[in-house]
Amino acid sequence: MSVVSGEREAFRLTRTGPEWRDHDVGGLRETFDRQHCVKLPGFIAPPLLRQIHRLVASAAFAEFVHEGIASELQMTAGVCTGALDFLVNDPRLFEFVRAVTACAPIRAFVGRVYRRCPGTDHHDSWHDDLGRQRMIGMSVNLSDEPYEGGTFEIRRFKADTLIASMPNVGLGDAILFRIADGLEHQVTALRGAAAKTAFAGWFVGHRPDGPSDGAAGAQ
Amino acid sequence: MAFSLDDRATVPDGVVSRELDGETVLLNLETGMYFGLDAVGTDMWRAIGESATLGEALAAVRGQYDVDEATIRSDFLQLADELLAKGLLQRADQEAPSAR
Repeated sequence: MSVVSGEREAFRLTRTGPEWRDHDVGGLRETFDRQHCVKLPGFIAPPLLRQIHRLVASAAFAEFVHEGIASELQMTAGVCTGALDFLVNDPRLFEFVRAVTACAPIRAFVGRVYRRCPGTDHHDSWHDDLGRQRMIGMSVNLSDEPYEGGTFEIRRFKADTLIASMPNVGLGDAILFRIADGLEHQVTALRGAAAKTAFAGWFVGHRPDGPSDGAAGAQ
Repeated sequence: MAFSLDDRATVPDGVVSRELDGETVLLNLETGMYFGLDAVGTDMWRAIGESATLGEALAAVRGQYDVDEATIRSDFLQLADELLAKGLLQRADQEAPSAR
């Protein structure tokens, strides 16, 4: 198991599109090959992050239960969800994700913003996200403040040991993780007082049926 | 007030853009409104972002098209004013200091 933190910024999602350094991709791909997930610190560039964070703060959330997997608050559709969908459904981002993960051609990103609050019944459990041509998961941290717990974990199906445990507490940081037969993942329980808010979903190989297209269970 | 060619225009912090196949989609995060630019509009948008004044941007675009000056000037200023009205451009002196 590896605990990943502090990889230097290799990618930035800016107001005009994605930017990355080609010479950093090899290292990211090597990490992803080894542990089926990789962290992208500073995924959203600060000027854009300020705008997104402002939208998150004014957005509405509603309780949502993903039967048998998770319960959480989910952001209702509006300017913020539309903006996030617009920003990540970008062929150049798909190109970057494919370069890092070697996945099949990506047609779309399907996601939603969730919030889990400590001291409530909000929870997650091991699951695989298989189906609907989901290939790569992504979770972008949009939390107001660093939270405790809420760590992404990935393992072989029902294995006793983890492949990787990946905290993601930096505002605007992202995790990419593989969706594949024989792998499962979860987010651990939150502790302390701070809630976790994340934009999470999957890069998929098909055109989605709608804006969320079953995104409820994404990390 | 309409733009003049002496004005310097900037993109507000709350505007994001994506260019694909020579066309551009703008999204105003304040309003949630989208705005599409065709290939000519995209060239104009790009020139505005790269130029000190709208006059410089117009000169850059004019060099790319075989169109009479009055027509391209009119089209250019019409687009700039429409973008201004939709909050997708602003005069440089209107930039929000708190967003820097």
